[in-house]
Amino acid sequence: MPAEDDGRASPLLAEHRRLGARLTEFAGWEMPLQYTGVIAEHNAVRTATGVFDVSHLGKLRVSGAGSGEALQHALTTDVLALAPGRASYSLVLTESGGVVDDVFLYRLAGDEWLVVPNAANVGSVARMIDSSGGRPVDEWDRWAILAVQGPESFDVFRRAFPNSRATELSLYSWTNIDVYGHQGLVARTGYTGERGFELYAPAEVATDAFRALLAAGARPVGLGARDTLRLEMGYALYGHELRLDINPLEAGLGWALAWPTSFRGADALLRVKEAGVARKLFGVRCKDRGVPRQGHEVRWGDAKVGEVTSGNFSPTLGTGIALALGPRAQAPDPGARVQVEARGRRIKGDIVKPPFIDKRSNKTTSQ
Amino acid sequence: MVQVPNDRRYTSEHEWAKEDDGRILVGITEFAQDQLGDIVFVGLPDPGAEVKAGEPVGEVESTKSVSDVYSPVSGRVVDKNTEVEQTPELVNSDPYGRGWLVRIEPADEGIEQLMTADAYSGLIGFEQEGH
Repeated sequence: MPAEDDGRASPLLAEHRRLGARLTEFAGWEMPLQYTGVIAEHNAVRTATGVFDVSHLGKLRVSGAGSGEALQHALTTDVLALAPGRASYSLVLTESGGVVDDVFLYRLAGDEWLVVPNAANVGSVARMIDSSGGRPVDEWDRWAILAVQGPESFDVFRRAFPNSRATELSLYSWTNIDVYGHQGLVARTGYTGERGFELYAPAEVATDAFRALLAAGARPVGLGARDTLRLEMGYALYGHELRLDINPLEAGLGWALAWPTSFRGADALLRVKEAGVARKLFGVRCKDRGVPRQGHEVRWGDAKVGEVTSGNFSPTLGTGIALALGPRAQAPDPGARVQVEARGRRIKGDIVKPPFIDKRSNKTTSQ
Repeated sequence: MVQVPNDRRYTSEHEWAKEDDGRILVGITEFAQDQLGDIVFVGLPDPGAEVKAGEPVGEVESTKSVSDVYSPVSGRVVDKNTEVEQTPELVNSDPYGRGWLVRIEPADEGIEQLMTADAYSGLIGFEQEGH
């Protein structure tokens, strides 16, 4: 059943078909998995520039008196300290400290906010904001979201939108942008480890914006490469490292908790902190051929020390890589030699501290 | 349009089998590699392994998923393609040539009972329409 009939389609769906994309259903949206191949698209983002359609992400506008206070309760970062023009990564938790989702938060004005959850979680995040006293409005069909990522993304964006001041933005800032006569928003955010932008283009001009970025040199990149890119950076993903039964301290996301603001779940996490975190997330870089996958066991000597939460092939390293969660007391140190049990085979690997690839040189020169 | 050469036979699980001096050369089809996407790992049995028709004779893994390769015939593995184990992308770039997987000494039957190129072309045409 085409997504048009379900009412949830990117305004760029016809463009993706025209480009020969392989489409996949993603939380009710028909989205590009790949155009030519995951590895080539991955490498385009690492070495040049790619453009992803991530219009399936949620777009919840929260506004009005008290909206900031409501979000301060629903989200884990210091929402009220965020200045208009700034953006922030944040988490939505349950009372018991489980992760409902991770989101990006944009402060549009004093009393106006844009919350961007994962596609599958728009409803649950909206309910959490609502029960904190906010009034989220789902603007799912109003915007296309285009992520423009890669070392050449500044040149590409400048060529596509020569009048925009986007390239003057600092990381985690946003500004308004004129997109063919319609007002959009552009932010210095992303999920790949590369420098770049996320463009919120009004649906009416999304195709024009997408074509302009392609003409300016961006290669279309599907959600397959989005996953390998984020995994190389060790970024957590909903359904993998972010789950109701994994708390953010275990997932290594303590930095996204703005103690002592009283966000939902703070009391439970304070108790976890006092008692000591039970589990820990670590990285495995494989030395043998083979690809670790979610659910595979990680063994250190004879002991099971963890379970893979995300695993895939790293196009940059040419090996399998994995994030794994296991009891803190038994957690192997970086450098430890472990094995991943993959479908009856044992893949040898080393414990590493994510990210799996070093992007620091990029950060110092361009971010 | 994907290639389906006439010089070999096919299975409904998208393997090909080709007579090669009394032995059967086995690989996956161009359609299969295209559906899998970028192949990053190929796991094959060592020579000597006994295999049964319709049972796994190896695995092929892409950035998206892992798939078993089912043996088109019963017999004994006499050779495996070590080049493709080291360079899995050969299955993408040359599925009918350098991307072959194993060579099997058949126990009894040959490959005549498998699908012809025409029949297999019909099958993948049907699967593509169903998409």
